[in-house]
Amino acid sequence: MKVTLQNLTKKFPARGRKSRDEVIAVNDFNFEIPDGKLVGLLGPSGCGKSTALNLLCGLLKPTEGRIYFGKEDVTDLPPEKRGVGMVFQNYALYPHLTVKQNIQFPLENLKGADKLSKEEMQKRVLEAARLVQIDGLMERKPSELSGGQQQRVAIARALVKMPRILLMDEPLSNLDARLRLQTREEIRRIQKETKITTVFVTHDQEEAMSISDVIVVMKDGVIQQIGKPQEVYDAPKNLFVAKFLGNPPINVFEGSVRDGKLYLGDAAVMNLADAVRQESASARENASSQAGGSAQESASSQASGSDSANGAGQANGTRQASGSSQASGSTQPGSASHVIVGIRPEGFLPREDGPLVCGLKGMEIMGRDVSVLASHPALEEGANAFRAIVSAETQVDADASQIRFALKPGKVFVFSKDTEERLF
Amino acid sequence: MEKQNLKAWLYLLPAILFLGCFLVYPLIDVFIYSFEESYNFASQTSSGVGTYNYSYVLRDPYFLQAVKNTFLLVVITVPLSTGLALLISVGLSSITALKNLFQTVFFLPYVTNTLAVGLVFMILFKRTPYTDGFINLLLGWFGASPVDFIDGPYWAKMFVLCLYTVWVVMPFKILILTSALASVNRSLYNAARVDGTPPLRIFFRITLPMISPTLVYLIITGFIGAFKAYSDAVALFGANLNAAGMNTIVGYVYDMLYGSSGGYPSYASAAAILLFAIVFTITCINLLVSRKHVYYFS
Amino acid sequence: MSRQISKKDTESSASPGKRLVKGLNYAFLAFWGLVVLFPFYWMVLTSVKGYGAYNSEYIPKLYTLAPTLENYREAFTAVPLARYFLNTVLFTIATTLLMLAVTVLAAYAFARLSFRGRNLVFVLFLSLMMIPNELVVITNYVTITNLDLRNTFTGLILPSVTSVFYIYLLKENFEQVPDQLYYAAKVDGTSDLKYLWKVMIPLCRPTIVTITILKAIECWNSYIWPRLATDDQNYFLVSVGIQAIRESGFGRENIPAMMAAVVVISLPLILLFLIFRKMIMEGVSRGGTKG
Repeated sequence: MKVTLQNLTKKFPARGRKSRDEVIAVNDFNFEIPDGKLVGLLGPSGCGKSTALNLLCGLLKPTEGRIYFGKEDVTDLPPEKRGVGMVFQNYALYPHLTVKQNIQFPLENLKGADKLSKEEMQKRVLEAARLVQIDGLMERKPSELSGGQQQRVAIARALVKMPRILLMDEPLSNLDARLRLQTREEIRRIQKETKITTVFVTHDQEEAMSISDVIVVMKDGVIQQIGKPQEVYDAPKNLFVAKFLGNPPINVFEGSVRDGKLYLGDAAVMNLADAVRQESASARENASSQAGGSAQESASSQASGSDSANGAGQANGTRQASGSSQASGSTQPGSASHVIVGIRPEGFLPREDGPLVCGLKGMEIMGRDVSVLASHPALEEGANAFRAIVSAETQVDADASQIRFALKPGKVFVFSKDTEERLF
Repeated sequence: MEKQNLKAWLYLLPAILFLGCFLVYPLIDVFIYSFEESYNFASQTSSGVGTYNYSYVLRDPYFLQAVKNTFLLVVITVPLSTGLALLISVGLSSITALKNLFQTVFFLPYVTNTLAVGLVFMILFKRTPYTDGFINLLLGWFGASPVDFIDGPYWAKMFVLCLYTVWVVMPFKILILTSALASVNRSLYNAARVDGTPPLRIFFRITLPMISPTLVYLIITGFIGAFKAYSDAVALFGANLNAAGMNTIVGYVYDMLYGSSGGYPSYASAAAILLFAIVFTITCINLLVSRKHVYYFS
Repeated sequence: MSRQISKKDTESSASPGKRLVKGLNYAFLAFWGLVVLFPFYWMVLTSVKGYGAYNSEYIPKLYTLAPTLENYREAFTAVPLARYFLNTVLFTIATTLLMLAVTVLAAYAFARLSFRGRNLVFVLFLSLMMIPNELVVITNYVTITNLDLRNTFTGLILPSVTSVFYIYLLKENFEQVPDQLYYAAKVDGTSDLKYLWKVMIPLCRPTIVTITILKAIECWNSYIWPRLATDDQNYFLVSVGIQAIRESGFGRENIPAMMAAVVVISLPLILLFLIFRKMIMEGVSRGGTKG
């Protein structure tokens, strides 16, 4: 089932008597979720992602905008008529009912033509239980189950009525670290098997990146970027997205652009023209390798904020075009423009003759990689060290006071100092 | 360590003294009284030990009347007040506007003096040569002929007693049920809504089981409280309840102890112990029945 | 996640059926509100009707155009209402204070001091909660009579002091105060009593206030024990007093004056309730029962 959001907005009245400002939890959402995909709504807490989920579910009514499931406008339908399955953050299992009764509960509500016979119900319940592999625990009460098992029961209960859309609110947040890894693979597997369009909400970027087909990054009720996880990671649209994705997080410097070159302090660390060329090559590769990227398409047009109704492939190009035009506009020969520079930890290459000269503050051996802690005067205010992840084979002298890096072009992003939008 | 020990006992001493003198000793003593035959209050002597006091009480028509009254009161008011309180609490939980006002008003009877407000009920229901009273006025609008609810037929008196008892016990039940309803996890309701559960089914399949421990608590305390009814009856019918035919078991105990018919602590003790045998038995039955039907949080 | 879905948010669309249910709900609640409030209204109304006016109303009137305070004067002069009132205030204050002292000390011993047999003693205490008042009142009556304490404040107060439940409630609260505070105080050389007074009591003030109010309500409304322990009207408390007014009263059946007395007796607690509404309701839901 394809899901389309059109100008979806949810405002909450102000809390308290004094403040007059209403809270806009979801601000003008426009995007399309292709059929059978697993979509992660990602953002820091309070960004409106749970509100967005509750709008999809029907527990909340939007202030403005429409929601379509396929061709059907479901905006005014109550949750029970939308055919959605919902997995709540705390699972919301009925504590007085057994696992079997919990899973069966939604089926017992069906009336009229949909009404199921006892045998059919049994069959459906067992199918759902088998799918999530809890068919051995049918007579237990939720309190006798582990967190992971409860999660499975909640998923089974959401799936048993064969929903058109499956919604999950922070599905992994109540699980411990080990279970989380296991369960997210499980969710991926179940989604692949059932092919139900699934939307889940999380604040954990790793979680979202690892299993989603598409991620939607949100901040303060506004969509920042939509795309395949790797693409969003490789081409963040603004500083927020760049900072939010990636662990360890991106390193932020203050730099300047002069004569097509990027300066950190006094050192020209990169030739921007080269970088653009290299990136657009890889982007084109991505675009052509992506089949049926309708999400991508609407995503990018939304993300770039332009109304260009051009076809796929072009979408990625749009950003680069605007990026380079802005860059050329701001890089008048001789005059320097100040920018924010984000460099991924894996974007540093230790080189004897590297242009970026840094103080070496320490090293952490992590086996496969080495994490280098280094300092540089151009680091953003408040930070006193940045982290570079380099291959363990690279010989780094731990006792040296200095280390020099070259930068990998695709791992360096340049953002406007005013808008924090990405320039390169 | 020894010092700490001593100090602790010193801190406990007042409580132990008070409880010992006015709770533990009396508890033992009441059993002794109940088996001492022809105990004389003035000389504090008895003629022997036996079960005569019990058989006397059990044959006393006043006691039997009191038992009948008390059982009727219990059987009528406990289900009625619990059911009504549940309805009101559900109603309260589903509104936002005026909720605080309603809650405050509904709680008022809790902080009023049972004896004092009982008098108001009395004059509302009483029929005198000068006036039929307000309730009879109301009944008259529906074409009923006036009844004296205070000095009239038994059923009318029982009706007022039950009504007043319900009025008095409602605030506590409403308060407890409202907070029980509020503590049911909202996401359970959301889950049920997403699954298209009709409101009545949500109530019976989710709400009711979730608050069932509270309901059982209220029913059990309700039983115990109603078995101990006394002040309400005094307020409505005056201190001479035997004459009014409206005595309760507790009232019988006090009448045996004190007042014009009093001076028989042995009979009073026997009656009190019989009362608590009844209450204890019924509480046990309640607990056994509820254990089978109630969901408890682990 | 960050924003709980409230009822209001979800019920934006009101179908006619829903509106009807809502209306019926409000009507039902308003009806019960009327049932609760009407006796209060009637009591105040009757108390300001003139004696003559009241007795001439064969059909009771729902209002009065000539309110009078005469009945209040009558209530205070014809019967010793002021005396009952004062007695009750004294009884309530003395009993509550004694209860507080006993309860705080015992709760502190159970919560903070370690001594041999603490758990056993505590279990014994708890089991005392199950002893019904009606059983022990008989012996207490005999005891107080034998000690010649009837018609004294001592006789009224002493058996009314203890409440195992409040010891339990306060002990639970005391135990939530972190141990470190105690050790810190000990290191500074603070005595147990001073620690109790300066740290524990201020920290557990809400619970202490709650049990104080609950005990005060209980004292103000107590009827059975005061009735047994007093037959001299100089020692009557309000409950016994109002019953005496009812039985022998004003020499004649003076219902407006009786209602004036009822108003006077009811008012203090209603005021207390309106002021400490939240605290009282919370306290009661944590474990009060009527009576």
